Amino acid sequence: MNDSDIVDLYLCRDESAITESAAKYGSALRIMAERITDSAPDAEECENDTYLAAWNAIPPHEPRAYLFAFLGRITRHLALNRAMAGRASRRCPTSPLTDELAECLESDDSIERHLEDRAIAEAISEFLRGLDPVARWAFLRRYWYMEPIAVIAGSGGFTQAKITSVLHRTRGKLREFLKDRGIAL
Amino acid sequence: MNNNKEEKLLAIIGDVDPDLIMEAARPPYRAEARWIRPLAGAAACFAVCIGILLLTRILPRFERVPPVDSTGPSDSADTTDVNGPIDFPGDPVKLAASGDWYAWEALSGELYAYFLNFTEDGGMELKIDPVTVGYLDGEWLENYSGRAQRLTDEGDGIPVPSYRAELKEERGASLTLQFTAGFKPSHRSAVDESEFTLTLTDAPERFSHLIGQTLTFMHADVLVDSVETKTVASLMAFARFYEEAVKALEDQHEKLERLLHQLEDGPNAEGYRVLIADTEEDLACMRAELARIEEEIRRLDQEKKVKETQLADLNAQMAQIQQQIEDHLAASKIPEEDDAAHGRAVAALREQLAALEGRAAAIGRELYGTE
Repeated sequence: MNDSDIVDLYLCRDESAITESAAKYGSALRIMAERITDSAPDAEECENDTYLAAWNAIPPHEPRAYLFAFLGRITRHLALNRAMAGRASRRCPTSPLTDELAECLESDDSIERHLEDRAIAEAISEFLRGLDPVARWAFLRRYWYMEPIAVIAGSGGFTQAKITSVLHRTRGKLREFLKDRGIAL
Repeated sequence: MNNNKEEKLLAIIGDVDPDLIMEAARPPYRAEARWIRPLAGAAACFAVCIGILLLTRILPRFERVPPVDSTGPSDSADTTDVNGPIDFPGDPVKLAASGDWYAWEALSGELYAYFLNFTEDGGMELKIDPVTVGYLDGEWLENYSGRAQRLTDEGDGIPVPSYRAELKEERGASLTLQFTAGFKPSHRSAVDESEFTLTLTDAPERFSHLIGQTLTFMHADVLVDSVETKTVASLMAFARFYEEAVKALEDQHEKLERLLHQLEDGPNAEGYRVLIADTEEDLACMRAELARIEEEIRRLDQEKKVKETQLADLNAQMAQIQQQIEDHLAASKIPEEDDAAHGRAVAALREQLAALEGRAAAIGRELYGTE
């Protein structure tokens, strides 16, 4: 079933929308959540919560052209919240990713301009659009899809060193971009 | 470590334009990699067939091509775009398969990757990618890329296969390289289409170490993940790359540790610690990849031996059946024997023989790429 048909099921309040979503994207969402939470049961709960959140969000949203991105975004948020909540008791599985992203942030707190998260996301989208396709793809696979470098390299036919290098440079560019825009978090 | 800001950034990245997310669902190119990779394992029994193919089938086609002249460029040279109207006999660029070609070299703890792209319209683009980056020069060396133009010598009218590439770096710096190019001559005086060489004849100081050196490029399809060309030879080329990469990273690691020791706890020490950690991570990746490739080479060799044994067994069975057929045919010529019974037996044996021949041909194709 294509994404538009699945969205139609949500709009008609047909519960098979959830079954169809799970059949098409359940595995990918669960893998993403498990990478973030490092726990299969937590990942499964995130996946189920995702369908509930999607059920509540469609309508008004109609993500016909980007259903996976829509569901993935919800899963990501749920999994990140869960991972961060559990950080007190054990090492957060996202620590390597946040350590890497620390390179993108200015330590200087004198920057006055603070934007709403949405505006920052839009700025980052603009930054990503300006990257070459390989750098954009690698960045999103790493920090949106939360994939390990080995998986990214394997799926694109690149060496791990190449991906590591591309990510390193992209983080440097993002740091400069955020600095130029006066964006602080 | 307080990761609040980084966590927030990670969360915000989740809200980027969904179109970008959908676009990132697939690799930017080589979209076939995802489905080819699982097949690659099954196709591993094609080991060594490309080498044999090159020797037996493909190379003779190129024997008509005149050997590449590797003499340097003339002082009176001017430039003509390789797409220009002048047709150069035996132009190596025109013979090269389109797509990406890779070369690499490790030098003093730095690893450079070189990419050649032969475009569909017959052009040649060159890109230099410092994989381990010029950390130690106090600046970041970015990618250089640009189009190569062929140099012509109008003085004596004999075209020399040399080129000049004006490469640009992202920050605006430029670099001019001059080189000869062509296929690597093979031991049969022809050319080997699988390896393209580039010998630098002129370069600015930063790349002067390359002058006189020959970089050997291999086509991406040979190197990376094409089912048809996944061979021990291509994997060994990969292994060579990783061995050089590991060596370069080890050198770099040593150099960084030495510098860190000199700096003690100076203001730049933390930066070097980060670089050392990065280098260690790269090294771990490279070593793991090298181990994986070496394991794959061993596996391909093993599979080849199994296939060869199967082929030998089939050949023996076919010889046996052939003998039985001949025996029946000889016996049926004796009047007192039952011709009809022999005829049926021969038909059955021929059927068995055809089946065995089919299996042998399939294994032969897998092993040697030929019937």
